[in-house]
Amino acid sequence: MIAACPKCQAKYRVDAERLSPEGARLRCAKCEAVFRVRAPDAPQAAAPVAPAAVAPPQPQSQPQPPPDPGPLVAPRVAPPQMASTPSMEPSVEPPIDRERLVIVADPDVETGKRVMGALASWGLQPVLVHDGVEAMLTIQRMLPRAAILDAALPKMYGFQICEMVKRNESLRSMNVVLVGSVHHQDRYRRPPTEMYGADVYMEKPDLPAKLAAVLQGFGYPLAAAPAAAPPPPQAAAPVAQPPTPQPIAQPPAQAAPAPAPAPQAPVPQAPAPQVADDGLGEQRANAERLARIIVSDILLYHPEQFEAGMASGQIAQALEAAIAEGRGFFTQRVDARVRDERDFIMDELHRVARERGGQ
Amino acid sequence: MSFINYSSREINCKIVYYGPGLCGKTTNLQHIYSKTNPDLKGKMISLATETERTLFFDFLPLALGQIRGFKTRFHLYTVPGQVFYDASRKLILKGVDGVVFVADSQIERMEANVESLDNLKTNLAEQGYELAKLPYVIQYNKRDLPNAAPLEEMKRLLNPNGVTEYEACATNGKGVFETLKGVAKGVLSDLKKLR
Repeated sequence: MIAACPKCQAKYRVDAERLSPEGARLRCAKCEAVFRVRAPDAPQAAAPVAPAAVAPPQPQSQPQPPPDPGPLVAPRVAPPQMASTPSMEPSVEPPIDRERLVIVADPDVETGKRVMGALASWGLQPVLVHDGVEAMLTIQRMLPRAAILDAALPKMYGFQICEMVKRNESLRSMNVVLVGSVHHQDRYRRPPTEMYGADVYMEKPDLPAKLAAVLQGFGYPLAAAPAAAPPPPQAAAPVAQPPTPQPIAQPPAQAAPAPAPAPQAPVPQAPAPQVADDGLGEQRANAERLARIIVSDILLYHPEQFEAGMASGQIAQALEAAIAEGRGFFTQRVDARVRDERDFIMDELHRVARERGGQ
Repeated sequence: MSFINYSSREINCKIVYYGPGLCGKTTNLQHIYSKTNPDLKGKMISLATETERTLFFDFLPLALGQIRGFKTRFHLYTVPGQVFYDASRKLILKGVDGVVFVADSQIERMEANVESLDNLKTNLAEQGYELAKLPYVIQYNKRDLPNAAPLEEMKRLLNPNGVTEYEACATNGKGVFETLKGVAKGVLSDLKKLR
């Protein structure tokens, strides 16, 4: 089975057969967070699902909670876990309800946790990631209906992801909420939504509070939408109690058919493509970023040649020397495997030309 | 490292203005040059082409008082900002005593800012320097432009460690001397520690 660190999302292959019913504690080699892993069919694992799924039958759920807090001796780590763990599991399981799936990409653990808590309490299936490359891969793999992207994600910016999503035929229909860290949106000459194609631009301080209305605007049926007066829950979020039961209440229908066999089938699938994609995906993203910077420099220093090239339809000739310089640098910096896939610099140049030509 | 000339009793320090292309490094130096007492400054050398590309560096010796009987002379350099002139940038960084990172506030140039800052760290590391241990300030230039990114966003991207930072509009001189004083203070303070 695959276990994911609730803090940094690093994935580990764990032999489920060697886990005791209580599970085992793991220390993440990447971020050193300690978390508990339980076997998929262990009664313990079922426990968190069962009580909430059968929320009304309290007799069952009451005996369960005591053991739960017991093993959660690592409750410090648990709160972030509470929010992300349930989401990571469905991400591996097949019964993903894409209509309720939302990717949350935020580098800040606390903010991510708050948003996850709110989304879960509204009956959605949130998946939390902490960097841009991971977000892009998760989006491609899980095809969520919406993504909430912090603009300044590490490794790949949220606005880059947004642009890529909106340029991709198969992803374009996904709703993207771009999140900036500050107020004063009006200081942008062009609104960020227009610049990067995001459906909505929000500012971090408004995040959980105004999110319900945004998601309803996308047509999400929010379970506790009225309770989306959650600025108070937001404050209460650290308690992590209210949000947790809700996401668990989600899978009932789904969790029922997929109690034990389900986890097995997808588990090998999920990590495999990720590992395969990871290295090259990141390099590809870096190559695209570098091409954008090179082209941005070329246009900045040679605006007349660019305009002339646009007018004559011969941009490559008009900027020949500058492009050659740019290519030289690009070749030094980008791995040949990625470099040879396509002409990144010319593609970017043509993209900009199309964009400017359209204006 | 600063160079001390005992015969002339002078301490020479090197400050490098770093940043992406056309962010205003040369404009900073030109403003400093134009406002400095002619008796205190040397000749400004600028290797620029008609396309505004700084191919090599700007060099401006500037005298800023004395430390324990030694005159301090600051040599201000800029680097070529275009991403592909990395070799020149590495060369200019040799022996640096202080760094000013000039960021272009235009939102369209944010990626170039981040790339340039990464490049600065990499090039310093190649020479055994660490940005965190150098006198270093950030200047958010072109704050007057309508497409300037919000300051908070820039701080978050470019200054997560909270080094001293200045808002500027180098074309009219706003923030230029404040930035220079900021980095010079750091350099002088380092010099005093060495003694």
